[in-house]
Amino acid sequence: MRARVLFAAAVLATASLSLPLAGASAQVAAPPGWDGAQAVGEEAHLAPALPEDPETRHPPADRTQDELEWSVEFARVATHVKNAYPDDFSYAGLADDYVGAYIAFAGAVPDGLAEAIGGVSRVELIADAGFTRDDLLDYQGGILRSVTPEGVDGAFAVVVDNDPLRRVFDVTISGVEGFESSDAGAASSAQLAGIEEDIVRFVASAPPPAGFAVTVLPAERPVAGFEWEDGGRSLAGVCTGAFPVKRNAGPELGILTAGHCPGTGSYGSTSDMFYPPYPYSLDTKYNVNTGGDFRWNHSRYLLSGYTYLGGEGGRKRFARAEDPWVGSQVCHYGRTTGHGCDTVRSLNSGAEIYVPDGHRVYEIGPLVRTWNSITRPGDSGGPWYFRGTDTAAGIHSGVYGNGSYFSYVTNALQNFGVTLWVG
Amino acid sequence: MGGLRLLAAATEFLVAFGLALTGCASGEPHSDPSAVTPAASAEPVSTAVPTAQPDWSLEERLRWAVDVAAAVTAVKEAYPHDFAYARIDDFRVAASIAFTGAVPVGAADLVGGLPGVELVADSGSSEQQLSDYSGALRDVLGVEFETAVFSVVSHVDAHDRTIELVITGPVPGDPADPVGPAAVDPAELERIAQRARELAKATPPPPGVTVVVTVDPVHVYRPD
Repeated sequence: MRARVLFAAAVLATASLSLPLAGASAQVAAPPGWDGAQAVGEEAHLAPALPEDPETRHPPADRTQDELEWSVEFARVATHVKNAYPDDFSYAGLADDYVGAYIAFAGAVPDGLAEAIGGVSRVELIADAGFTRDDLLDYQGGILRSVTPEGVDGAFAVVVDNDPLRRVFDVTISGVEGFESSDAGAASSAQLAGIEEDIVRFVASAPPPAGFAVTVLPAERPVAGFEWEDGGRSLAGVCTGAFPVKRNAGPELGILTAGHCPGTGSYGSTSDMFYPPYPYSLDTKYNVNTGGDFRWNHSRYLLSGYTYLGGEGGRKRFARAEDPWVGSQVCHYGRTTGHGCDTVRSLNSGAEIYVPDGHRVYEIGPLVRTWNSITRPGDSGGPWYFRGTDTAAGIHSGVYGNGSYFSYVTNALQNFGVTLWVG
Repeated sequence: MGGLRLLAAATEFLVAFGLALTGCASGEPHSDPSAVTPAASAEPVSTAVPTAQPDWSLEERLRWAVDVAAAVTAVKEAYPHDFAYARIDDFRVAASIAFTGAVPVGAADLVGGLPGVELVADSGSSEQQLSDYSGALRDVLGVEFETAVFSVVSHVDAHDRTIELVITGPVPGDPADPVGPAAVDPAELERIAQRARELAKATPPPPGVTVVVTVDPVHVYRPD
């Protein structure tokens, strides 16, 4: 298992910005004059022979439906255990071969837990890991807070990953070019080296938990900010993404889309854009107050905070979400039909859909119905918003008769514990 | 009916149906469930609606519409048992927020002086009540016709006081229906629809609400 945690700090000339970043460490090279990689605190904290880099342990993408269903069931159980035993839970994950999974605890396995999760097969419970998940997150927070950006006038990002199996924190420091809202360039090599020194000092004064090591990985070149994906892009060639979101209880970023759309695959110009589905990231159902046809896909990469709305709609940052009401003017974007607008005809409609990777037919709702059918296959998952504003309204679902239907974005945000991400 | 196969036990949902109808015993029975009865017009309560701004630009109207939508959500959350429905017309800069009974004290404060917003009392049932009723009806059909392959598209309209159920063919992609839409039996869909009408007659919807049940053997809800 690799529990990637996205953190970053970006500092521009006069403003401090938060830049979650992922997936950059493997592709970048050290800028001239900066040494880049080094192990921090070798004597006390660095394991002498780390296991192979986890990038080589990613499972192949062509899993069977049964395997995918089982993995989603396991994810639900693991999340429940994590929430129910926050003082005991350490980490969880799927084995490389997808035929087994594990849940680890800092000390003993809580009483009765093995029986309670008996309905999900092939799960190993591991005792005495020696650390909790919160221990890891607290330490990662300490690394980030140790960065003192005074004197740094360029943009940079600090990414901290933790891997409980390898017992290591991987820290990547890189400059950021082309940052959307600033003319500032990437931080210089000297400035990045200063940031690294801050982290080295922190690790020396505060050893990581449970024998973890800390490594600082090389940054071969600055990250290009303009390459970050928007919401609203084509998803797996068959659907459309809606708004970018960030998990409230963590740094994970993702893209909202329809529940019947793929949870993984390509997105925009990026192949293999998403991690395997995040626990509880698919919650398609009928419930008057919280239901709908939606999911969010956990992005491996940083997102721009913008949502693409086609040539006519441009790109927008949606910082606000509201429920539309009968008569509301709403617009949508989809990869097939592009940009279009209509008026809300009715609320609280219900229907049924088949979700391929859930392998079931789900009753969905409430859905919002427009007066006209202005969407076509491929538009599913795309954004709906209040016309002429930066207020999000919905996630596209489908068509019946002469109306288009979409889910409430507020229900998705509430259900998943995520908020709109604007960069 | 794929989605309804998810239901675990018939008895549970028959009970749920009964619960959803609690308080609706005095609902007016409708003699012809295939026809929509005219909605009873609500008596607006004068709420001293601030003057709308007919000379607003389109941008101002659209911003107003979002502010009204937010105000309606706040009212609904503050008075979930009183809120009936809302309508917004940003061309006329006019909106109405309707309540099942009297306008709650404090609702006007939540609207916050937005121009063109009228608060309407005594507007009958709420969208939530109608949704609960249609959901219970769907659930019972799912239990009673567990082995049938069909689906339901439902709409509710608290303003027009209608609940519409459309009995359609199977959901595309449903592995329980490998044959596809060609397998749709219109006669079976009609039997299901007829049963829905009987259920609605036996356990009437909220007062003044009409249940319309139709069959559509040709179209289904199409996920885009």
